[in-house]
Amino acid sequence: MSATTPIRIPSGRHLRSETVARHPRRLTEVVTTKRQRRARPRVLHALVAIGGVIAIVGAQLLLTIAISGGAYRISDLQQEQRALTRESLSLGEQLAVAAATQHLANAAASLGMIPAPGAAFLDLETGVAVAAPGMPDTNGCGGACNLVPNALTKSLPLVLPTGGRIDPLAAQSATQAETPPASTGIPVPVTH
Amino acid sequence: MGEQNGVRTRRGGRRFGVVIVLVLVVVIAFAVRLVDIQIVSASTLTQEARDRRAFQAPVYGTRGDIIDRSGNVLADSVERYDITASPKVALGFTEMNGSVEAALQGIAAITGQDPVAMMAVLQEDPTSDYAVLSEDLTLEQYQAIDALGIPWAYAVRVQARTYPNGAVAGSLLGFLGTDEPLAGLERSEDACLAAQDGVISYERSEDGVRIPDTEVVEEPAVNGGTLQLTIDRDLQWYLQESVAKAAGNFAATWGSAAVVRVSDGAIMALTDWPTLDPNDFQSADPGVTGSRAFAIPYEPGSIMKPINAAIAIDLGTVAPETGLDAPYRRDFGEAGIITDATWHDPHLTVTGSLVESSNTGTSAIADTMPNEARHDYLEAFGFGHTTEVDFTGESGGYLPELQDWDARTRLVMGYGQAMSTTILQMASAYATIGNDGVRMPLKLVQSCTLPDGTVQTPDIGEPVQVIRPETAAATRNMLEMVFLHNGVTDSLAIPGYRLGVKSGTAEVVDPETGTYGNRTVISYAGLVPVDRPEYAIVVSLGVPWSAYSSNLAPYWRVVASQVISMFHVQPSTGSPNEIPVTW
Repeated sequence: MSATTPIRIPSGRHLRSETVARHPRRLTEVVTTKRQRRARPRVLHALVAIGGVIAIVGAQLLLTIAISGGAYRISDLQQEQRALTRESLSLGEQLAVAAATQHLANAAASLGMIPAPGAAFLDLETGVAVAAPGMPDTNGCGGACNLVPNALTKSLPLVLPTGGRIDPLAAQSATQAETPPASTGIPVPVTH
Repeated sequence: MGEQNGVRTRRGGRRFGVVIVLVLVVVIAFAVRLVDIQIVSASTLTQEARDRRAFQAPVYGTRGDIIDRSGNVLADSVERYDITASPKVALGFTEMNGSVEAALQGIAAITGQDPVAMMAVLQEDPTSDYAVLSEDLTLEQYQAIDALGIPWAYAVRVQARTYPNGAVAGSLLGFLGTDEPLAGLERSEDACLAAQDGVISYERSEDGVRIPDTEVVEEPAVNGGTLQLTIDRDLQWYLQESVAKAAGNFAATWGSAAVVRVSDGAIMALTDWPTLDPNDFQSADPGVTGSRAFAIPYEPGSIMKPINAAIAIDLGTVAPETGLDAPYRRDFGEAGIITDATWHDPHLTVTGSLVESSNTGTSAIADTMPNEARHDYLEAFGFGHTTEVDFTGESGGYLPELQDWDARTRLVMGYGQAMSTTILQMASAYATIGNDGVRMPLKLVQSCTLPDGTVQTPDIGEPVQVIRPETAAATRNMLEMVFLHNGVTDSLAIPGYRLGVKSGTAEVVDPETGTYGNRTVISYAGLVPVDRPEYAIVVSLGVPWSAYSSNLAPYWRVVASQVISMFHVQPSTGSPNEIPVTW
């Protein structure tokens, strides 16, 4: 039995001191086995592993904070985008109403523009303007009769370039002064 | 010593084994639980977790716009805001929230409401958490109220429909009710315009704060399509203004006008007077919430005479120069006596019967035609059935069944009595004459463009060759003779353009007596220009007195002039081919 019993090499400080006491001359020296030598780095591995975990957790924390910050930023921007979209829709709506035919007719009338009662045609052979008379204007409202109602343009202010009503006669005389006198025949446009 | 070691070793080995087993048990338990959580119950748990934090909210699709042929917006969807309040919070925590009166005065200054009335709304049920203070506010109004920082007032976003051009094409566009479209194209084209609402979900924290980046679109909202009409906004406005003026001048009870493009049957303008502004349809007369031009037919009167002559020429029973026995008053035997409005030469040709607008001459023409063939022609011209537009509430008019054609009916139908048509049917018939006898299906809707860019065009059927091209040309020639010789040429003439027209004065049946009374419908129908027709134009007015259609001539010219200018119709060439009006 004893022959087959494996030799156990005592390890640890207790055994070592006992051996030293028994063998003061240190005939033999206890050395660590390969296995023991390999076992030592486990502490290092543990430290590395724990450190790694801490690093990962830390990094994840920082990443989460960064992502959360980005998410709030995205949320803010999305809200801003929605607000701007509403603003855009509102302005588009105002533009559509301002472009309504009734508003344009009123604005033109306030600028002193009076629609012709009928169409006029230019005879290309003779250069003479010939008119097709319009319909009788028994109610005397001219071209701005506002007979096609529009509830949206009722309260729409008319934007005048001078801030006030333009005198049609003054506008007419100004236009006439700027217009070069027509030569004989059909006026020829200036081209470059 | 060795024995002790052996025992210790065995005990150690057993403990180790027990530990291993315990560890394995724990690991297996964890593994089983992990599989259960991650795989078996994963969806249930995910749903449970989401339900605890997730909140669902509707997302509204936007109803599509209606635009005219050039893209001008006729109907669009806009955002409006309702201001709601919690009376319980507003009235119960005044120390913390400040004066309710001051807050209401701030809102009233923006909305123009009465602050006392708003206070009454709040005090109606002081324990309630919900009361509506203001409705349909614009973005600017909402932003101004939001800036007041009233803690118990909340804004609710709602969709609204506006019609930027007001009553322009109002009778065609229709309007929306609270839950559904109620009239016009809004109703008939709802399949194109309607949006589908969607659902989103997002997660909220315990205190209700929305967690960013958690929004999930459960069901996307789908916007409605854009409906493009053949209508020209500016011409439509001009026509409505002109018809309204004419109606005022004639003290008319109603007026309509139609402009149809000859080449493709596109309705460029179709007006009604009176009409409604869809922005304010609640205050409109219930009688004008639809389109008279589509819905209410009338006896067309003498503007039917060219159609009658065209059918007879196509059947070969007469020609434009065929002489007729057309005295002022003529006894047609079983059909009875038929008289004309004015005296004229009794020896009229077919063309002359149109120039003089002779009822006796027209009856003589009608008398030459077999009923069955004539009925088929009238149907092919579009009478007796609704147009391809299939407008909500559209009438097909009245074309008597063959068995109801008695001796007088078959004659008087020639001059537009005993049958009824809509103004659009008449415009379509004239356009057919202008289009070499080919009737193009009428169209009001050009297309529907879906949000994904798909363009859908309505299936309106195929063109129909109603009369031969030669017959159409002969009829146009006769219409030009009417323009030149009917006595009101000066009131109709447009320099540089050859025109083809026909007037009509139809008596209106008095519903109380069942006979023709004093009221009349005066009309003018024609082609512009007649030598190369591009547009068919019909104007009709219902007047409560016996009027002469010739008075309407200047109004038809105004419309025709506008059409010529607006669509750059080229001046006419050549000269009229004179046809004798008497024999």
